[in-house]
Amino acid sequence: MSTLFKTRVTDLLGIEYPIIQGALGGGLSRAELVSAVSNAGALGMITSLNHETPDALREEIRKTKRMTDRPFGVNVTLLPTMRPVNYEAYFEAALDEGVRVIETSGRSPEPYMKMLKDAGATVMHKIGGARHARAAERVGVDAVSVVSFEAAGHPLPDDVASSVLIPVCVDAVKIPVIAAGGIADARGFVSALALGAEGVLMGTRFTVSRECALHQKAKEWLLQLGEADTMLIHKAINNTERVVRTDFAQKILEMESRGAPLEEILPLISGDKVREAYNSGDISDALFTVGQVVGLVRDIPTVKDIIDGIISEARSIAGRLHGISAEAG
Amino acid sequence: MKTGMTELFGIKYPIMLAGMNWLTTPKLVAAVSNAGGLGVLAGQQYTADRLRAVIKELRELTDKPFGINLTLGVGARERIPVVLEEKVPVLNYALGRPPEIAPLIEAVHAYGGKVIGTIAMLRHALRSEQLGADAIIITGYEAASHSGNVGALVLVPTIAEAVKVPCIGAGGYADGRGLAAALALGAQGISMGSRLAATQEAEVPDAVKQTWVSATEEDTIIDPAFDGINCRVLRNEAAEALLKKKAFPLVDAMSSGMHMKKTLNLSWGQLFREANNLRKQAIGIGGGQRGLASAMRFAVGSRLFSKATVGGDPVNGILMMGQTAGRIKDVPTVAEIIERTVKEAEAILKTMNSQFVS
Repeated sequence: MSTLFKTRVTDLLGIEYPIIQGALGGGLSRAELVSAVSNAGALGMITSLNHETPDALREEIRKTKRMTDRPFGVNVTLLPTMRPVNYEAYFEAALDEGVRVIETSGRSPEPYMKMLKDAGATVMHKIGGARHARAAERVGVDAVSVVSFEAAGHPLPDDVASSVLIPVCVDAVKIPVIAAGGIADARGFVSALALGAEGVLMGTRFTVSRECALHQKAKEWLLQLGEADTMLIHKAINNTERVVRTDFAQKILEMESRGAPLEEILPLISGDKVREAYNSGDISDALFTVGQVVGLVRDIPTVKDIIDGIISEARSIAGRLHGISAEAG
Repeated sequence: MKTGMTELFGIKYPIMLAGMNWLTTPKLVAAVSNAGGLGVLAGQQYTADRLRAVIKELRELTDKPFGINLTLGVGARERIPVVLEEKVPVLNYALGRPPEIAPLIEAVHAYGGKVIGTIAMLRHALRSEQLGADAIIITGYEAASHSGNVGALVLVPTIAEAVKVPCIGAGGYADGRGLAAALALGAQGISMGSRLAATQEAEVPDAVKQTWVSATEEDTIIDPAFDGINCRVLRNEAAEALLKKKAFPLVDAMSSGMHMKKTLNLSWGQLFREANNLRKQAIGIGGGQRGLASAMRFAVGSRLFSKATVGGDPVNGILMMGQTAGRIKDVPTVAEIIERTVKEAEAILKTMNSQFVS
């Protein structure tokens, strides 16, 4: 018999478990991974800007729909990019293809809110602090994902970590808060929910899953990393990102801190280079985006095993802790 | 609430007071122990003789277990005999090298006391356990004062699963949500610093308490500029000024050094040696400088820390403060904090249990 875990996030998204797959870069959030996550009762997420054109995104959505009849989302990152992006066309593609969960990040989704809400979409927005959570709520988003210091993708430079940032954001807004950063297993799941989150978003954990397209060699390399083997880069260019501490990453950081011109740095960290490294498993000259939680990732299971494992273990943790607290009287 | 931590120390609730310099006076420490938690007093802030008197005073204020915190290094050598002779129930050490830690643990165990090691890295946790510590405080990145670079959400489970002794989560915990969250990660309790210092019983000027209330989670900085190793403090003018200084004018360092020499009763040689030792020990948690520069930072930092807390000047002094400041909105009594933390945690765990639907 299956167990569900109900929060406002599961109701909002029409899923069984309040677990969301983070929109991965480098072409990793593909139909295979996304559909596997949704089929397992959580929410898969396609990364729209990994597709050269809105039409390519349409293709990926169609493919995903052939692989699952459950809800999944499309992420549109509104950060400055190397090539100009027609964001509207990507939103349109997602909505046309019947996607009703849209995740935005990087900048306020305000200019697109009318379009998204008119189409009946549920909008989640990624934020890094309380004031951004409040701003997102004001423009009408349905839930915010709070990206903390521990996270891989784009924590704010204020460096506030989860045990403080989650409750602060929960108290700042009425809409549900999803915790992003530092979570890979049932302990993190229960902990985030105890702090007031109503769902969790996991990127690193799903990156190291069977269904993720990352090269096996790279997945195995990530397995042996510890919690302190990551570092933050790109603070200088206002796009903070957590990556594996490699010689290459140190070199990029050093270029940034001596104020090397962007034209010199950008070719080294282009999306194509990342994609190439992910496909080949050659880690020597690409940045690998991961969260601190990589230290707790020690196996390469299927997506379904990850999700089922979290829910069943969370149930036993919650039961045990309830027992402890009930005891003393 | 019964956990490995409450069992180990014979206390009612799995909550301890962090042994903060200049803040943990007998009154505050006793209030925490009397409220069912574990009060811990920073031994460093008193001379050896004064420490002995303070422990006696503490015993008059509470008959419950309490602890003394010692940073092994600067001036600890003359305070250790006091702790041992007074048979303090709990010794909480920080930093230190195995040759000093091992005999200390043995001596505390010999009279039936318990030992807690404070760490910020997995490697140091394993070493503490191996040396015989009875419990470990895991310091997350959120914490005031010295920490590593890993957030509690990741660091606590990483260490709690690697050691057998009870672990106590520190950094960012200020309420029942935090207690429930730490327990979920495998900790057996929490340590609260800033939260328990912003209370009626804390003997610091109101200006300092108000700073904790009004500061947000974004108002801290962590940097080795303040005392030679990575230290989280309130972002104020004094802190910004130290960040900008690449080197200290000698006169600043000399006058601060005099002040610290006097406070800690050290010779100049001892001062430089100890400051340098501190840097060496802390290398794992990042940021130390070599030799004289480190000693100077340490001397200047010490003086500015006491200026903020004892002097009640959180503008020109340096105030150690955790990101948890963003969670501090009032100045209640210690008992109120502890009771509402436990009640809230219990309510959360009860609700969580009911969210599973079969």
